[in-house]
Amino acid sequence: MMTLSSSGEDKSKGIHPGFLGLALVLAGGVLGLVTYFVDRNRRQSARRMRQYLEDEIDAQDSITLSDVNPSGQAKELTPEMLAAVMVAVRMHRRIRRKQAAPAMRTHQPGTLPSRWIGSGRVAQTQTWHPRRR
Amino acid sequence: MNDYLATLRDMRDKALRGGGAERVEQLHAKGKLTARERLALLLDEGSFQELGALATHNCVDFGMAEQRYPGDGVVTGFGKINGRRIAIFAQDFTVLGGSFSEVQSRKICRIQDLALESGIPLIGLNDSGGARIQEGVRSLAAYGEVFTRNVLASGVIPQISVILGPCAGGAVYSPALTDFIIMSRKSSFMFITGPEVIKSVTGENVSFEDLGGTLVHNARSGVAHFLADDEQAALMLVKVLLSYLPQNNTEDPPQVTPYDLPDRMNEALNTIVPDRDDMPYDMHEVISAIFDRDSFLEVHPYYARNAIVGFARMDGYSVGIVANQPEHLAGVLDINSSDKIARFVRLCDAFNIPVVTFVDCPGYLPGTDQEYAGVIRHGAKVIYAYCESTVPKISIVTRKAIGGAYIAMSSKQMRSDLAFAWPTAQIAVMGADGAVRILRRRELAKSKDPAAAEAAFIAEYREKFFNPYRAADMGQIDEVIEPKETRPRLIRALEVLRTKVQQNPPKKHGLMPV
Repeated sequence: MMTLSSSGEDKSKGIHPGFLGLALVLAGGVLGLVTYFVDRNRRQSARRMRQYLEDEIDAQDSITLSDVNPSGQAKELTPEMLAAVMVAVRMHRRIRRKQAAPAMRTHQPGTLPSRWIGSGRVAQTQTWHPRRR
Repeated sequence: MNDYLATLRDMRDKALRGGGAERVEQLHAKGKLTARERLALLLDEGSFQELGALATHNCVDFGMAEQRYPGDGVVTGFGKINGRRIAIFAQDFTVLGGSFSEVQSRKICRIQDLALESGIPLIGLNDSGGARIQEGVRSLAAYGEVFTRNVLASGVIPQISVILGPCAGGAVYSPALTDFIIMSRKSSFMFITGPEVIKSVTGENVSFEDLGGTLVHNARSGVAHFLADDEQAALMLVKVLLSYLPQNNTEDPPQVTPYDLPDRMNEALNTIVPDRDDMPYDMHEVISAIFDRDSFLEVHPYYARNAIVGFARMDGYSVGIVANQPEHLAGVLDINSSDKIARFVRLCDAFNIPVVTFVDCPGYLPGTDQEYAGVIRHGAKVIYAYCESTVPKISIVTRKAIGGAYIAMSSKQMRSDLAFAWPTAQIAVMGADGAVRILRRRELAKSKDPAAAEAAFIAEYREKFFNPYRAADMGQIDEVIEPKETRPRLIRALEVLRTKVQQNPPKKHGLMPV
């Protein structure tokens, strides 16, 4: 809202340049601080994740045959076992895709209207032709 | 009631045992599987519905009254392969050598009729010693019944024959009338007359393998379309082959969820065609770089290798591919490659599979051998097949499309929907050498240095005509494209043409130059 002084001068017309400068400096400072904290958080998260992964890999490396119970089921999968499973899964997926197995199709069998039935049923009802002039 | 059930169960049990444990063991010792083991491998678990398991023959001559086996040497029924309904018969070699009898014929005909009425593919697992001689002419007549149904079903439902043992005499014609023949290496043979008859009639000594083995029919005669290392591989091949085919002629092949990028561009394609005309390149590399990864299934891979035909997927959709192979005979068209291409184009047309043609062909193979054997008649088959087909057709000229080869290989004037060319394309009436000798005969005769003059004329001719731009000027080529753009261009073109409907004039049938 516009305010007038007793002398009739509009005070809001010109904001003091010093004030604008101060505001800009403060905004820049806040932005810098936010950037710093975000960056620090990101670094800390990355460090924690790296540590976690290193621990995991160390733990997997230490798995021995004794970790496999008598039923043959592994308590933990070794990297070799994981790799073998991955290869088997990929191979299985490839074969299923080559054979257009149901899971690899855009439409499941029987979900599309059959043109065979569509055209066939129409033909069935067109066996009688009335005599035309 | 329990007696009735016991009788039924006993008969079913007999049917399951086939020719008995001893014969099954003999079969296994040869590395072969029984009919039921083959069905178990091929069909989805628990999907097989048998028909005619208890049928037996009524022949009493030559001690046949004592040799009755439920099923009479063939297992017939319905099943599913990857969820798709199919009709199937499997000959059982353990029962009287799988010999073809009247009852076998009735069972097979029954399943053929049901397959045709239901519009589902028919698969035959052939393993038979031939006609059952003890039945006399009855077994001969039985062949005719099966052949008739093979022909009536041709082009309506896919028919696949798998040869897993001997297939001799009249029995060979039923597989020959089907759409595909898969032969298993070592165990399978096909011939009209065996080595002994040949020796007695012509005095020629020939082994089973050399007469009708897998290599003979896959590489020389072209009777078989696929060669499998063993029975298991042959049965797996049936599954893969079916994935490219529809259930019948009114439906479309199954679409696989797209797994390769539609806009993938392979930079290697831009440099795949050598600079020199006489340098070959492998068209298989072109095909594998353009179509969906690992999706190419070559048909007739060992026969007429100057042409390539096969199925692949483009953005998940099934397409048929026809291509010249510059690595063999420079990709010329000859009698065998013409037959191979014509048959494949007609098959794609029958089953609504678009045809993509890659052209790099210097023309028809010259020579008296070819002319005497009827290259005109056989070459005309390619033209007939392309002109007759109504499925979407796209051609891509990669290098040479010269003379008759340009016209025959899916040219735009022969109802091709779209014609692309690579910048390396050479579309001309005839080769530069021949053309210059005709066009510049007088100048060459007058020239003091004919060799230099000829070279200059050839260079002029090549510059003028050996490019795709003349043809593009006249609209014979729709677009000259960068080779690496071929995949995205084809995908978009096929997408537009997916709903194409074109009709031929009504007629009983055309007269193909067979």
